[in-house]
Amino acid sequence: MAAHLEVTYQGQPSRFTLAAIDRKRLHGYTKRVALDADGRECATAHLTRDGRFLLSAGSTADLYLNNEGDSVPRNDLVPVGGDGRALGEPTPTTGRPQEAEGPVSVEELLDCVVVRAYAVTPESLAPALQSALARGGIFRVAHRPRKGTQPAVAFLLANGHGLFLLQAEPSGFEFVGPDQIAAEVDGWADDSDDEFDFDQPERWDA
Amino acid sequence: MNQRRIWLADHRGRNAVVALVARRRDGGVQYADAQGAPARFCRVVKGTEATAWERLRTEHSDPELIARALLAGDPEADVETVGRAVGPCDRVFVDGQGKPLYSARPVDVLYDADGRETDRSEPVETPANLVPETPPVWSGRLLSRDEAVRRYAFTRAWQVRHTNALEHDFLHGLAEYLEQQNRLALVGSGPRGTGPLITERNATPMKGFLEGRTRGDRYLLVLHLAAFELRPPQEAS
Repeated sequence: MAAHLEVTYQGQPSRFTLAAIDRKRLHGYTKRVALDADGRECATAHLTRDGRFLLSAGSTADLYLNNEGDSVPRNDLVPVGGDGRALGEPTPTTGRPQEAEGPVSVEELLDCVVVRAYAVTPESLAPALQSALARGGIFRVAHRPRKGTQPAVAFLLANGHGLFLLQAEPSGFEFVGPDQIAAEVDGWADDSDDEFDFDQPERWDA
Repeated sequence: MNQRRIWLADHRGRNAVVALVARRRDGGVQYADAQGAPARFCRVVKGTEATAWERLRTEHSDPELIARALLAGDPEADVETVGRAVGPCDRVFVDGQGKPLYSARPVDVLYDADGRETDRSEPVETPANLVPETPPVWSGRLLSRDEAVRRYAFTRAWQVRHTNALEHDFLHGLAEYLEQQNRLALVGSGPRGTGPLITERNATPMKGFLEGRTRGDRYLLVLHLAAFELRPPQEAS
């Protein structure tokens, strides 16, 4: 089922169909597979470090356990911040018209990282929004396809190929002065979603 | 401890190896149970290859015999193992019988945008090129901020930072220049500095653009990376 976006701008409603786009969908992709001596494709499994268990697909389960070691049902889980306070999970914006705010500055978009991109096809497009987009306006729209704690920031813009919605997260970078030397860090927040990086050894570090 | 670095050239013909800092994420969402007590994530064993359906089918072949075995001895459940925390694991390849392979031949399979296999080839290892063997080249290609955000999906961003006073001077000057130009500079590989950036071995080639802003002696220099252009799938090559 196609996803939709409903926005209002200057009191006029518009409705769009969303089609996710990414590098795979645009250019294809490469997958590295392993073949056995007979040329048959091999499956992957996980071997525990003590060598006792070979775990094929579907042989593990993900749980949340409380202090007593009992499983907590998913529906009972409450997201909390670092200080232990409940964060609340805002409901999805799907099916509810959202206000298109703006036009916003280009810098506001550059202060974010795109986490999802959609090609947008208008089912109905209000004249005011259409002309604003055609003039180069970029609009901020609340967009949260599913329940979650992530910010619901998205930007609606147009280019020569059509309309696009960019779901984004703030990058949080700040100006640095001469005394603010970059510290060494462990790991990289952005390294988890590289769809072509097949050669990294996959490990579960419990 | 590690620190990602990039060898950058600037518009004045200078170059330096400087630090890249990943964006910060909120301390990570944790979970509590309905009473507010912390709940921790745990991956547990449901079954092993010894209790898997494939093993039962191999051993008993006839579904009727499998059913009898299930009634007689619960071969599908290893009570000593089920529910154990998985702990650290390594990925291995297994053959059709579920046995680990000690050697396997890797092959790259190419798929088109519709998910159809188009070719197979021997794997080629592509090294990262953020710090090349020879000094980088200033591409000289500047793109307006407005055109950049409409043309590319910037799916990654790193802050370019200094680790000493000389690097600060270099990066502040670069940020100031980009701010004055009100443009992003293409940062790339190759003899003209326009090739794709590969941030780690075998990673997706990306186009890199530097954005600079200044406030007095402070600066903000961001490397924006784009893996694809904004266009509908049917228009892509």
